[in-house]
Amino acid sequence: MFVLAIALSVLVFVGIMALLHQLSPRGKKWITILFTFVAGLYFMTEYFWPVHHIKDPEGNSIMGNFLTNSISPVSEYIQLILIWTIGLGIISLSIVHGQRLLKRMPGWHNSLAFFLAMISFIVIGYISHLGKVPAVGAHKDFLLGTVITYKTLYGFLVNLDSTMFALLAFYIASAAYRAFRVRTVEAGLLMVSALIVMLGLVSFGVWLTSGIPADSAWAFFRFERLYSWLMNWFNMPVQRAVAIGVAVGGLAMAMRIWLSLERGSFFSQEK
Amino acid sequence: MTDITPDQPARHRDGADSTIWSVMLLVSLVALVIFGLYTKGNSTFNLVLGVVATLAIFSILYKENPVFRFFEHIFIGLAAGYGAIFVWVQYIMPKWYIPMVPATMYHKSVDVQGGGQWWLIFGLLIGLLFFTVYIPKLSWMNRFVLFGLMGYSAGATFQGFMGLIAPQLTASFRPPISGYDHPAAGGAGLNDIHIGHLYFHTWWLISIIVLICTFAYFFFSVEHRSRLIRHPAAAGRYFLMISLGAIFGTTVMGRLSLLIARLDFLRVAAVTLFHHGPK
Amino acid sequence: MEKFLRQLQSLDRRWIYLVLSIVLIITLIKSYPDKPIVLPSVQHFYDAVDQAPAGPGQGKIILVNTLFAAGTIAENGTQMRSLVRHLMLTHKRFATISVGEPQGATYGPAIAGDLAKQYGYEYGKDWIDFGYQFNTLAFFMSFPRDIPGQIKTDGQENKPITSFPIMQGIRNINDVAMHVEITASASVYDWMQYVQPKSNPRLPIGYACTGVMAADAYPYLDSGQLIGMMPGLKGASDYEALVDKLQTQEEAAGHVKHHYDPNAITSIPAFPPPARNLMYSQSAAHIVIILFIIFGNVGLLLSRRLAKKSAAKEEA
Repeated sequence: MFVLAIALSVLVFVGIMALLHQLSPRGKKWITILFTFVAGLYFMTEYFWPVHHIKDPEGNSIMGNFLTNSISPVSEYIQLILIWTIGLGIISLSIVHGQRLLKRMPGWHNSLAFFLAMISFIVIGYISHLGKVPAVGAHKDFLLGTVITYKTLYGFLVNLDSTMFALLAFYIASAAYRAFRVRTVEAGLLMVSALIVMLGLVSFGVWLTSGIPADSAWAFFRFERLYSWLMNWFNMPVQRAVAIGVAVGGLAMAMRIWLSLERGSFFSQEK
Repeated sequence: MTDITPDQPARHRDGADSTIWSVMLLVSLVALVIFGLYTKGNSTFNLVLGVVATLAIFSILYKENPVFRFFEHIFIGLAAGYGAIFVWVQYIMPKWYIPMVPATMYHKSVDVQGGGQWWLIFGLLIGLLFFTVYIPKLSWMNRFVLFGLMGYSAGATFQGFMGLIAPQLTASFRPPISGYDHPAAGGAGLNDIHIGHLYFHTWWLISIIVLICTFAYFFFSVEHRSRLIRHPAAAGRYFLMISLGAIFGTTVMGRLSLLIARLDFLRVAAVTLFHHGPK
Repeated sequence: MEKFLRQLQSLDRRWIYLVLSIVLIITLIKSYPDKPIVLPSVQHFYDAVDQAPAGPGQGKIILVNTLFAAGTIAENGTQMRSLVRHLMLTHKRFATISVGEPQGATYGPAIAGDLAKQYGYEYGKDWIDFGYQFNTLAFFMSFPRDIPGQIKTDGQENKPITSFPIMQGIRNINDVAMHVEITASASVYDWMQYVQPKSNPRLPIGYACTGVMAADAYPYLDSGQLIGMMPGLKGASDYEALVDKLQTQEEAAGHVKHHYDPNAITSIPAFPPPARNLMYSQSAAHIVIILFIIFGNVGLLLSRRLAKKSAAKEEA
């Protein structure tokens, strides 16, 4: 029965998509617009529809409307659709490196290393169940070997990952040296502000102004106080203004996407 | 999703087109694997592997070289493989496959409720539509499902806006003068100014002025001709510079922490290998 | 002189890398634990965890989202270590989760598991791992309404989540006393947007972020959406100082059997040492960068003056 249900589901789905594929480009465009609108309407309606006392699936009383109880199952189902997108990244990388390897382009050995690393990690990770498979039974030694190999590969990945991030520190140091030239008032303000923050965060800066008594009127000029003052009363309202502006812009963009008003090569391409 | 056609010149890297480097690097990789198998992946081998990985990546700081590129590609491969297998084992199997396949068909002993939820197959079928981007004739199906998800996200944006930004708007409206004394502003040790039975909140007033000036700087619907908007916009630019400097300061701290941890690993590895000896 | 000034302004970057590396290595070989002045945001974070009603018999848990990878383990790993120590010293029940970061789903439970051995915490009774969850809008829509329905199985033993004693009575977001986000990304905004508004009373959110993300979070601290913040290594160092003080008090009172072992985290290779030791090197690195900035600007200033003098001489 299960196999039958699966087979029927696949047939029905393929049939529907085949039918839709027969539509003209204009028809496909309108189907997409309708689907986009309905998908957005669902959450909008659930959010804006008036609420009253309802019962959740476990019988508890909550505030909601006729769509509230469907949010959880619908959201979980959407996640099950999105998880497959991990394959897109893998396929894209494989196409790029595969072409380089097959055509023996310069750097093909790097692409070979990429494939060896990716495939070995996937295979070892699957067999060892991410290093957690119990090493028991007839293949005890083999399973133990895969667990050890997984942990070695994982440790290798951790070291490479950390070192890649560590490179950024060198780049920021050289960027600070090259770019921080006080040629204008704005650049001067930027530098003074950066110096206050950099000194306020570390013990050297605290030590520099430690001579100022903490309870005196001049305590404001201690670096840790200057840091707090700058972050709370200058940085905070600026970041707030930027966040509000970005959010309002995002809202306008969301409306345009929901109503399919957005134009551009990606949005209006018809094939 | 880039196409590398044979007519495009390949990017030139140091040693990328050198057969000697290709052979040397691949032989080194094989030697490393054999050494790992011989030592059975003991802690010394793992430590040496970590040091080799760290120094290989750091070699880019001197100049572009084939060793860095080689290890960079190994890193990309390991990261991609890890991402894929992790999602499969930790998410797809327990949340899709096991609930979908009936218990009689799934022979491993797993203590999970459910099973037989055949309708979950539609999750895979709809998810497979993403992959139609590689088939030009069917690529409209990819846009179909992508736009549907974008519509769904757009619908949730209103909810997100109210949840995230509405409190920001209410927090911005604070009276500069009130009948209440508030704690020292932001830990800066500055209190309100007391005038009779009223309190003047200096720092809230400054905060509102900075906020309005920054808004004025980014307000492009009206040309910045009138003094009413030009001067606040100019002030907003200065305040923005202060904020950017603060961001730079915290970024420096953030990035340096990563380097410090890495160098500490090298220090510990050196002590372990040369002082305590291999295990 | 001109040549020297030109060199001062356009130093080969590799000299900068070398000087920075040497200074850091020296300070790491010979380091001293920092004695920090605790930031107000860190103190608020600490107080919020202290006051969270997640002790035994209080019916709630603290949710810790570990969203970091190996790259930021120096900041986020040390933050997680201090936080878990605090939770265990104050007997708070908690759950680890990783929404969108596979490595975080390994690190969070590994740190908690290693420390649990020191503090006598039992898995399933005092703490639990919700495992990896896919980072989608769908998760944030359904999780606050039905936690067991969304999580289904735990991340360590793959058993139904409702079979563990700690999950008795935990149904939705109102049963979470506090949410802590330990992250290298901007993921906390998803919790503030979609989860916090659905909670009643409002869910306190503590933010333990990398230094890069700290400046953006101040508006949310001000509005109360974030109850406290641990910014980067400085935040980790401050929190560690507070927890070490609590540890000393608890040991003196006899509430803790063993002295804390700083090398307790053994499951994760190359786990960083205490944050306060690393802050000493941080201090030195900041001085190096500030000096290089000053060198560059001194060179610029002097070369401008020299150019003005030469121009004046030529006119004369």
